[in-house]
Parts: sequence; C-alpha cells; structure tokens
Amino acid sequence: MLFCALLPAALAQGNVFTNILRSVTGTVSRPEAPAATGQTAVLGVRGMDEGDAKTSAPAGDGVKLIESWAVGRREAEAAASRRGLAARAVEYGKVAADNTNPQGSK
Amino acid sequence: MRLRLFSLSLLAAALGSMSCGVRAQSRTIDLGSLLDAGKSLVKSQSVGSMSEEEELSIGKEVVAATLGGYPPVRNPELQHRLNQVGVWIALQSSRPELPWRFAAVQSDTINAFAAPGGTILVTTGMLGHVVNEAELACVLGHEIGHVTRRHHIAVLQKSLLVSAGASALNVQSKSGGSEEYRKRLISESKEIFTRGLDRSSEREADEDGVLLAARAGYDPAACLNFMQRLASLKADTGALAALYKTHPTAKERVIDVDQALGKLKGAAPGEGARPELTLNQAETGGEKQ
Repeated sequence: MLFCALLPAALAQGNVFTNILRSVTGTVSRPEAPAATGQTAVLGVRGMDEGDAKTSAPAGDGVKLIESWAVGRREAEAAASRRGLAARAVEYGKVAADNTNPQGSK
Repeated sequence: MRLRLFSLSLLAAALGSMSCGVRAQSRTIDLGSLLDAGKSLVKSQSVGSMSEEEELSIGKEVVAATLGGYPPVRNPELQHRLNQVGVWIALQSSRPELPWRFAAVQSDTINAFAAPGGTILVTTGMLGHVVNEAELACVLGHEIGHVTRRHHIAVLQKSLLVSAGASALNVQSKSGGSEEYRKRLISESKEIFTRGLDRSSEREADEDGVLLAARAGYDPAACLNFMQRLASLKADTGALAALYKTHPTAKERVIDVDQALGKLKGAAPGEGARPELTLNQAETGGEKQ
C-alpha cells in the first residue's frame, strides 16, 4: 500500500522499534533505503479510511487482546521514573477552560 | 439569535433527512410537534448527560468495530511498552482515572484514533514516523485530548439531534428506543471516524498534546518537530482524501503547535526529555492491572 512508498525518518534511522515493526508487519520499507523528502503519504491524526470503515466487522478478540496489554498507574509511573521522566506543573498562559490536570500524576 | 438560527437549521436538516429516510408520502406535518418531539428525545436520551459507564460501553463497541479494519499488532512487548508511555501521559490529563488503553494497529496510513472512554489506537504507519518517545507523547497526548474533552461525544450529540428530529415521527413511544438509540450511537461514532472532527477540536487536541507531553516531562518542542515532518510529506489524494476536507493540514497544525508552545508556562521548548523510542523493550515489574 501507500506506506511501501514511504520512508519515514524513523525507518531511515532503523531504530529498534521499527525493526520490530519490520518483523511484525512486514510492511515497512527497506532499512537501507534513503530518507526522502516530498514523500507521498496519507497523514492526519483523525479519520478512518472510509473503505475500512465500511468493510470492518466487530473484532471482539482484538478488544480482549487490548485489555490484556493494559498497565496500571503505578506501573506507568515506575516506567516513566526509570526513563528519567518526572511530572511537571505546566499550564498555558491564557486558557479559557482548562481541561487538563495541572497536578499531573502527583 | 444564533440559537434560533441553529434551531431552524436543525429543523431543515431534520426535514431533509426525513425526505431521504422516510418513504415520500403526502401528509400534513406539524412542524412544531416534530421539533418538540426531537428535542424531547434528545433530552431524554442525551449523550450530553451520558454517564462514564455508557461512554465506556459505546467506546468499547467502537473499538471493536475499528479493530475489524485495523487489527492489533500481535507483539505483547511492544503493546505493553506503548501502554506504559500512554498511561503516563494520560495521568497528566483531567481524566487520569479512565481505564486508558493503547494499542498499535496494523495500517500503512499515518493515523491514530481515539474512542470514547479512553482507548487509543495508533497505526504502525504513525509509529514509523515518530523518531523518539517525546514525539510519540505528542501523538498520544493529542488523542488523549479528544477523549478528555469528549469531542466525539459532542459530535454525536449534534448528529443525533438532527437524526432525532428526522425520526421523531417514529418515536412516539420509547419502547425499544434505547437499543435503537444505542445502535445509532455506534453507527454515528463510526461515521465520525470517517468524517473527522472539526477544526477547533483538532486545534484543542493539538494544544493538549503539547501540554500533556510537557507535563509528562518530555520536550514539548518535539511536537513541532513531528508536525513539521508531517508537513514536509506530500498529502495523498487517495483513500483519505475526504478526511482532508475537514481535517486541518499539517502546515496549519504546525502554526497551531508553534502558538501553543509560545503559551506554555512551566516548561519551555527545548526543556525536557527526548528518550529513545524503545517500544520493544517493555519494562517489566511493577503493578500489572
């Protein structure tokens, strides 16, 4: 599909995760291919392919799988700590209606 | 005045739907009763007053439907690590107690989905475009923003308000209405995935992505880097062409993210971590839910 024509920067770097993707999906381009500019890509952080939406059937097994991969708060906090991450009190200078939790996970 | 205009538009839309959804018949329609019936239905079964339990239930069915087209990547280590990162970011949001779930799904497109209730799906195409954990945080933060702000619920509410007017003639009794309503909710939710959300919702979510990444300790400037990279790609006119009609371009979003960075207090661009992306190196130990 389209992705085969793409070569994301991450793939060019051949990071560990994309190596996993290669092994898992088999859809990722060759690691030695050059990073490209002006690539053709489908992009957006919203929207489902219309064809996929029409043809998709409920996948209850998938939901169960997702549940099996869930992690709890304490585990997430511990993992973040091991990565050197700490919650910070950050806000926007002028926000009419704050929708986030300024205290973070503290 | 705006409300009145909206009501008139709603009525017009309802009638428009009726002409398509109901067999054309020659009959007299009491417009006032129709609108009242529509309002009554929405009031009695409003998604605006939807409980968290209902939100979760609808979300689960939406996820199941979505997974039919986007199967999850069967790599428990990758998925587990993705959840560690995702939950950490979600903990910085206004709804940290939701049962947040994150999953990588197989798709070449660069995309991510947020279902009501806190399940976030990220395509392998998207994951292939983030170069570090901070950028991933921005993507996940954006989707978390859609959930915490209940963007999909708001769209559902508008959509159902219109369809409520259209079906008001058929909903004189509420018997069986709940199941029908539920089916409609799921159907409409799926539709939202194909139509996308409006510009302001996407801007809010982008702002949330920046804010939540910063709160989680990541360098918020990574959000700009990621968006700039997307903007450098050439948008395709293929399967997602319809999406682009309602979705802001990456170039527009670069501006939004840049403005968001300028408003941050408590973390400046360049301050924060940009850990290597190691989704395959799922850390073990600690609490497991």
